[in-house]
Amino acid sequence: MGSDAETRGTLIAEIKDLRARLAETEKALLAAQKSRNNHVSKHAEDEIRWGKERNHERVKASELLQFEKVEHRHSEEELGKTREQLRDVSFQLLLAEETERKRIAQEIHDGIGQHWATVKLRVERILDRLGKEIATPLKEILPIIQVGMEETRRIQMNLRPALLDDLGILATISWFCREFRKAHPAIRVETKIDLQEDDIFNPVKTVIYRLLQEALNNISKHSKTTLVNLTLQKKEGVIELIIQDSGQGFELDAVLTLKSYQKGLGLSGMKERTHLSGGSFWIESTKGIGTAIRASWPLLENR
Amino acid sequence: MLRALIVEDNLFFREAFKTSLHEHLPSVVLEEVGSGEEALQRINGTPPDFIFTDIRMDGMNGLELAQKLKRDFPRIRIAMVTGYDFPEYRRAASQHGVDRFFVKHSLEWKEIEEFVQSFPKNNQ
Repeated sequence: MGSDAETRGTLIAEIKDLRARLAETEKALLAAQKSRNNHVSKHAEDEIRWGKERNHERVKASELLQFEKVEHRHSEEELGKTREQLRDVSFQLLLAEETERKRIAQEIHDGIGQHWATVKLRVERILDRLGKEIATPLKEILPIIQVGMEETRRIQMNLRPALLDDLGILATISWFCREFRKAHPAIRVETKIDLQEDDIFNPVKTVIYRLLQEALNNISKHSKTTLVNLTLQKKEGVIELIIQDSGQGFELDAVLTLKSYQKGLGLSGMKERTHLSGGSFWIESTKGIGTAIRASWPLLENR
Repeated sequence: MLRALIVEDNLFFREAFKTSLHEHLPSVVLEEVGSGEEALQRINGTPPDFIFTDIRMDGMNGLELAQKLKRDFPRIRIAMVTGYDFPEYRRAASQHGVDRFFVKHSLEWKEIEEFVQSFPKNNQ
């Protein structure tokens, strides 16, 4: 029986021990759980805070971007306006130059040309009354007066042809091509005009004349062509000027980088004048085939 | 008696032209004005038989004057006297109702005399 009692005592001790260890384990488990929970919630809080901060930054960045977009649009609008103003001023400047040329040409005509005509009329009248002996040597003065008159008119027409203001661009083209044929009989100029004088806005008429003058001048100097085709027409809502030669052509890039192109009106001047007057300008040149320039402006009713 | 009006803004040429015209056509009564506007005023009083007009003038030019005269006074014969001897001016003159075209620096007085003397025949 003693052994039974011993066994019972040992078992009770073991159970006590087990209970104590269980309690300790539970305690440790609870502690571990608590600690884990604490850790998890801290981590989550960090995450949330971080997220909030990032969101705030994103909102700020988005606001900044929006602001910059508006600023950029304003700057672009400003730039656009400035460009437009610059174009207007440049065109006004071109028109002012033409007005000045017109004024000088008119003064030459009224002040000098008319005087030559008067001198000739007076001299002829005197010659009619003189005896043949005196009149014959004096008649030699008449061709000199004639040359003076022609020179005066040449200077005047070079400045700005009177036809442009008196009769319009179509008569001016007709006159200019005839004068060109006289000066360059080896070059045939074929013209095709398919519009009315009133279709063209007045300031554009001057630009058309200056383009024609420059293009034919270039053709006679460099192209070695025997044929020029000139077209001025109304087509698909635009006024179109095409000047085409079948000469030797050239390399556009090479010519555009030459400094000499800045002399006179040049290609860049032709392009600029067209743009300033509200038109578009193209040039195409192929070696051995020829060169074509095309300028176009919106029709008067589309402006 | 035939009457002619000279419309020319350059005083020196106007005087010289008038003197020569008078010598070639002494029977024609000559009057003169310095602009298209003045010409219209003068013509509204007593219309002349002939007009000799320049093209280029301040204000109304000779072509505009010719067009108005042809419309309102078809009996008046109009001659253009200009320094620009180009076919384009001749064509425009004819389109504006001008009857004859004379060039300032090579005036053919015979032609001017014929133009004036043909007046009654053409207007009968």
